[in-house]
Amino acid sequence: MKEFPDDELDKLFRKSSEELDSTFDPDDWNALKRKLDEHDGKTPSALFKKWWPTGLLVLLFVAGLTTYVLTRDGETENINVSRTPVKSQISGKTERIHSDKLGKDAEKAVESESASDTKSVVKNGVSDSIAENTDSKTGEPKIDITTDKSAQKELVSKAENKKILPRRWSKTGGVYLEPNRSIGRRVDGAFYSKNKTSESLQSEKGSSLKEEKTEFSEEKSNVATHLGNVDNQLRRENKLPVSSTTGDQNNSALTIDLNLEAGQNRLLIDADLLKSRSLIPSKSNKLPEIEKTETPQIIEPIKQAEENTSPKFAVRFGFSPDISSVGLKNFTKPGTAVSLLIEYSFLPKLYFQTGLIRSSKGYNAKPGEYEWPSSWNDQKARPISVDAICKVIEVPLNLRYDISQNDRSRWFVGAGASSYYMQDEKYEYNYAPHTYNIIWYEKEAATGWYWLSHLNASAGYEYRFSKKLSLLAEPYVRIPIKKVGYGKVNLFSTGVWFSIRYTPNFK
Amino acid sequence: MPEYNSAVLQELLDGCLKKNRRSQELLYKQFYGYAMSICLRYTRSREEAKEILNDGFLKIFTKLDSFDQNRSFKNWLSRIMINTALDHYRHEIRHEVLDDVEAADQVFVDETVINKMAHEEIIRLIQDLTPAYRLVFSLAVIDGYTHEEIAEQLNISVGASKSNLSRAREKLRIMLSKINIDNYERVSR
Repeated sequence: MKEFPDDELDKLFRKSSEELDSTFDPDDWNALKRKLDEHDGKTPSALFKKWWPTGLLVLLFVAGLTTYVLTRDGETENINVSRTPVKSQISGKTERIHSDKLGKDAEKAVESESASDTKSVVKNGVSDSIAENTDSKTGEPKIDITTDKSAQKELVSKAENKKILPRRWSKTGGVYLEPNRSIGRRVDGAFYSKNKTSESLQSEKGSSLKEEKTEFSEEKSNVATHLGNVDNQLRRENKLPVSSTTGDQNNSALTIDLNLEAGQNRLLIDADLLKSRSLIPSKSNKLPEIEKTETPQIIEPIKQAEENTSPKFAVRFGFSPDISSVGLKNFTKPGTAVSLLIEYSFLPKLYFQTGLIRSSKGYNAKPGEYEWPSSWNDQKARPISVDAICKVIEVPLNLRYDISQNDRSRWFVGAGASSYYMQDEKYEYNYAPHTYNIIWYEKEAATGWYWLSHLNASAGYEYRFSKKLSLLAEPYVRIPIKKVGYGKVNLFSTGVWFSIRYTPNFK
Repeated sequence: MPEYNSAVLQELLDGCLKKNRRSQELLYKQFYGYAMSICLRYTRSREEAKEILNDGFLKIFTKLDSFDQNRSFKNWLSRIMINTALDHYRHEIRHEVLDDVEAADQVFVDETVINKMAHEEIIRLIQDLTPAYRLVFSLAVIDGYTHEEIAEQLNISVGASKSNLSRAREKLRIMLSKINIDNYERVSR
């Protein structure tokens, strides 16, 4: 028995360590082989690991596109369905307005026209119903709205099934400025009035429109009379031929289509003629009725939409490719970033935004950009570059301002500052060939918090596809104001957030 | 080419650079014992050592293009295995509390008993040390690191490194003396 000095103890363990030879275990190689396959991307899990960010991006894009298309279609249908009855009322009344305007205008133009002139129009076949229902007292023609019930029903159903088309589309009816327009076909009419319109209004609005029907009939007959007057006067002046299927279409300024079904009038007005004549209605017209009945129905949904787009709180989950570099160059393969943010609107259009962002930032730094630790000076050789992969937790403090907004979408900008927590840093040092006495090939570190180390700026677009959910695309930059990490680098980052935003309802 | 990288090894390395699995397997087999002996003295158990061994070889196979073939592959492998073990230590055992060494005035060891001990048994004594002692002892005594380097690697002071080494030696002496006592009692019965 003897005391064991340090050098003998060291010698004992050094010798055992050198002479120990563990036997090979094939299971160990199999385990490593699996790791190598995974690393080389030869396994499904490796493929998933490699491609999931791209897959997620594609999924988000497809989901967003599908939602956009579906909601757009739904929106169009809703507009059509909800507006059909309103539109039929509006169209009927609009006809009245135009009729009134034109009628009064025509009346001014041909004040002294007699009833016999009206009859001459009738002879030229404007409408049998007009001709047969001339008011015996005034001598003005009246439109018969109760002669053929089955025809009325058919027309009502046609009117109800008629799809409302945008104004810019052709063949939508109404007066439009298009000279030399073909009048050979019925659908090309510029002004298309039906003497059954008041009947359809009656069916939809009920008895409340009965009085209006009578009034409308009278006004319409006035229109026909005035139009007839205008027509005759112009014809006499050799300016306006009465149109027929073989008539001179190019020269017509104001025509009444004679090839319509019974009870339908169509007025084609030349653009030049319209421009040259005043369309100011007389004081006796009852235009305010339209305003009173229609305005609330149109404005109300817009008000609701505005209310819905101004919630106080919102939660955002986002994904972004993270492109990082030192000094705005040497961009490497993008990393990934996920975010969970909350937003609070403390002023209209202005939000405070904070939360957590976890990102994997890969970058390459050159010797001048990377601070070599002074404690490593025992190694004379210096790396020619450093490859880094850092897992970073970021806490942003941002303000977001909505610069433009409508009921479905909005554009916004954001700015603020971020604090970085360097959670896991891995550095690999690359040396020039034939560099000797290298100690540091790699380094792992976790240097912790860097408070308000970066400035943030972003701009984005948000599309709302339901009351509570919306999709966002938001390009951003992180500009360094402090050096971060083990190598003290100015880490610049950029990317595009693809986020889904949820707006809870707090009651 | 340096003489310590034989032609056979060079051929294996070339195959590994082309990600040839057969070459990788042969290289793994050739250096398995050597690499495992390093990993064992930096870990608590054989299972843990296997994990570090494979992580180290994964680095070797994936970073082989950065290896300067004019240098000793064995030294490069050794460095990578040690660094991998240290990374593992930083990850897994960062917050482990150091044990206090039992007070022992004088420890006597029977040399004949020690000579009969297998290498595995002696290495197991290192594994029984606390991580901080184990790493400092292995780095300083077996792998020849200076206290400054150890302090940097383990993020401790140079004084702490020296202290840990001293305590690690003391602990090993106690363990060896216990083996002596146990062996004496077994023989006397």
